[in-house]
Amino acid sequence: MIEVKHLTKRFGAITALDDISFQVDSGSIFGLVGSNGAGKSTFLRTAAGVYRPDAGSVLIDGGEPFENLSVKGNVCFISDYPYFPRAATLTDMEDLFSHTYPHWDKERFHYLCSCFPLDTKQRILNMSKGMQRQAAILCALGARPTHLLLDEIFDGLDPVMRQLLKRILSGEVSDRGMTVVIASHNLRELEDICDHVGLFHRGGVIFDRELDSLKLGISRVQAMFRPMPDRSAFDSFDLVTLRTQGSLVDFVARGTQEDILAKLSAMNPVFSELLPLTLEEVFISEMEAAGYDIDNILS
Amino acid sequence: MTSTTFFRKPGGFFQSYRAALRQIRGIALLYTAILAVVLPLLMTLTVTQARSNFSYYSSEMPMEYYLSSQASSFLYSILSLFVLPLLWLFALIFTVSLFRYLHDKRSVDLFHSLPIRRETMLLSRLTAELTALVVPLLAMLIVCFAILLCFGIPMQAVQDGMLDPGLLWLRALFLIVNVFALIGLMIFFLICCGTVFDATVSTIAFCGGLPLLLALSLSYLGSALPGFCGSDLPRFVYEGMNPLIGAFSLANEPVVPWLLWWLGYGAVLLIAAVLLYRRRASEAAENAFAFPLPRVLIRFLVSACFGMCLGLLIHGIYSSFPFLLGALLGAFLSHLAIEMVYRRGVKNIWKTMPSLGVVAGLFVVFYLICATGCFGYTSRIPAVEDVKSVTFTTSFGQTHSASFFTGTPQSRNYYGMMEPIVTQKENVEQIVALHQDIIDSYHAMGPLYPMSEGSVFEVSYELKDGSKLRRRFYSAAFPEGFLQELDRISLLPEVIENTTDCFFLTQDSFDTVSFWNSKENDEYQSFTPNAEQRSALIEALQQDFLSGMPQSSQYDERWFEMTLSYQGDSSLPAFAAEDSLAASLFHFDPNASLYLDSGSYLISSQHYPNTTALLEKYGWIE
Repeated sequence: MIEVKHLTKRFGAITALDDISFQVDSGSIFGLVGSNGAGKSTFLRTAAGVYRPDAGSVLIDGGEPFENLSVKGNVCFISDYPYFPRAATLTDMEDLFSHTYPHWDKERFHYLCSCFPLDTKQRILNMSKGMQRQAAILCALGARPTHLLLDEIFDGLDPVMRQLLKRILSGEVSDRGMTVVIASHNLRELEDICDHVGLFHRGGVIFDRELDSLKLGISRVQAMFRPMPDRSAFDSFDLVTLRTQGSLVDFVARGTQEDILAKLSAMNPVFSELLPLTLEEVFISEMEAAGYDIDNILS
Repeated sequence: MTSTTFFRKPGGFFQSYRAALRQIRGIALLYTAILAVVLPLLMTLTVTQARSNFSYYSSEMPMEYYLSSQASSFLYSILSLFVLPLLWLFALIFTVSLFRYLHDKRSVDLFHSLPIRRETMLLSRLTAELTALVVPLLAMLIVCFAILLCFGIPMQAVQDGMLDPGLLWLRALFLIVNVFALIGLMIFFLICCGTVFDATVSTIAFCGGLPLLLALSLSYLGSALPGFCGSDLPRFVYEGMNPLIGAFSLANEPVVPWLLWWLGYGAVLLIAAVLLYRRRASEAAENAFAFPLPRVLIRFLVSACFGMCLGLLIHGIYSSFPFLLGALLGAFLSHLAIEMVYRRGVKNIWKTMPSLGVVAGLFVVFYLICATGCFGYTSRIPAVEDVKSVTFTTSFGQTHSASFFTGTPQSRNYYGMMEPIVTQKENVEQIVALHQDIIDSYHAMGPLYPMSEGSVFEVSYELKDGSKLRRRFYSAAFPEGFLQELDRISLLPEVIENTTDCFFLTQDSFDTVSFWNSKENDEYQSFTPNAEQRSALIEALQQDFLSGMPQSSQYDERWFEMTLSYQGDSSLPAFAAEDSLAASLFHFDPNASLYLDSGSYLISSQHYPNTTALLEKYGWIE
């Protein structure tokens, strides 16, 4: 389990993580989403023991990771641009990881090597970006971590490899109860694999919730009214966004579908439709609610 | 099971060490190959060549001794002139290769997320670097000795010849320890800095800046602080902080205290580096500095150096231009330059002006301290009754000063020239009075003494309490009549007896006397005097010198050059050797033989009347 308690991390005048608190349960796949510069990578580095928190703490199975070998031995971190020494091959990396991580599983590593189309004798830096990422995944999974921290892991992977990775991760979670935290902007992929999602924005956590309840707890409504009621008529909804165009209204509201439909019916719309939201739409809606004005950015 | 436990328990030292060795294996192979070419291969060629030349050059000593002496000179030269710079170069390459991960966010992500402690990571990489540097060197030296054995040179010949294996290993050890200190310095700056560029700039600036600042400060003190005698500063001040300078000056004389010093120097820097590394933020990678210490240090060093340099330079060219103004200008310009380098531009450079103000303030304080005589340093003069002895030197030159060397007549390794040693109270009084005249002259110049230059007068007192007082003055402040008074003191019998070479001669000191006639311009004529003639000649020379005549620089038309061929085993007379001041002048090993250097005399009847009369009596000159 990962417990984040009032975690703060500053870089000079910039506060990358501002007193955030949440929890990632063991055996779950937690998706970190958020705008650029929201603090996702900073959180992962702090959880991996790369950064020392300025305040608060990250506890992995009860221990702080910074310079704590017993914790770090169970945690693997793959950064957004995985690093490999200049002349290193997968065999070299196996040698380093196998003697460094206490639970290195040689058979598992070689089995995974057979799943991914990689030459273990080839210099990793001569491989393509996607293959380098695959190499990093192999090393991390061979270490048999209880916690796997992945930053933009789907970048550069082809669709087949993405599916393979998702399958392997799901298998590790179900078989061993591994906890996975994935920071990504690829919400489509996260939607497929994650069971929990946390939304970061400007160093804070807007929410962290189970994905299903998140998707069920927010809906998009399109409706036509004649005449169009006053905007205050929609105050009964827990609105995230609201747009009107003539007699058409398009809004996103939190709450169960039944509640939303009941309130909508009471307003006697000419036409109304309740649409499920994709994670991407949830993300955009919540970000808009948090003041992340996409229209202004795009215009 | 045991090995698995060992590999996995101690925090990854061995794994990190192996990974580091693997990382630098390519460069290490290149380094080993260069060493193999330079040491065993060239050694083989040297010994082969020496063997083929043996019959032409050295038939007096056995071949194995000749070969060992040739191998010795080759090895000592190659260690100092080639291996040392090679060690530095590869130490730099290895250090940057192994520690540049600190300056790259991506590599920091990998290495700092591994379950290995930071100090373990640092020390394992250092160990890998030392292994890559030292093992090939030691292996090649062993191969060199094996080659000597292959050439049929027994170890006994090696030890009896000039190639002392113990000394060679000691020298190799000195090089290794020196490089260890250099690596410690580089790692310290790599930990403190966020980029390799800043670390390199800082290391170079520190290595060059510190001795340069000391040298410039001493140069300034020499002319700005009346009486200041820079030679009082021990060599350690210049060399002890900088492994690069320390190695060159000491490579030929490795001594245990210096070995321990460089070992301690490197160890202290490494301990500091480890402690800082534990506190170092990973996010410092690719930033300018992880810790501000190098920036503050280097900025001060560079500003102070260039300030001092420009101040001295402009004042040297235009003596009316105030030194202080030039120094402040130089400090300002160099401060801007170093900040632009560190900041990669001029943004917010004005925020660093307070630190420039500190340097400027220090310059003003330093200038005022020097120009006012440094709290009585200039004015200090000992009471006559406290003086045990006093010596003085001038840059005007002395004639027939006795000079000595140690070692052997064939292999001289140190020269020293006797300074006038004055112990008689009435003579000491005269020198103290002369010293006081110079100080009074400075006092008359005003509250701020001007910078001095010109000829030098240096006086050194040994006081009865065992302490010493040494002062140096320049002719710009010599009072009226100073030179005449100095000439008079120089002709005191006590001074002449202590400084003139003929007073150190005995009848056994020389065996041949040669003459060259200036008028006839003919060839040298040599004579072999008997013991009585040699004693008489020494006595005649001493009488002439005591009369003061040979000190005159005017010669009549006819003169002879008389050369005494010394035996080579003339040792320093007992009275001088026992004199602690004379011994301290030379700093020679008390057990070493001290030899009197040979000299010649321009004999004329005007300046050497007694000697001329004697030589004519013997019929050696006409």
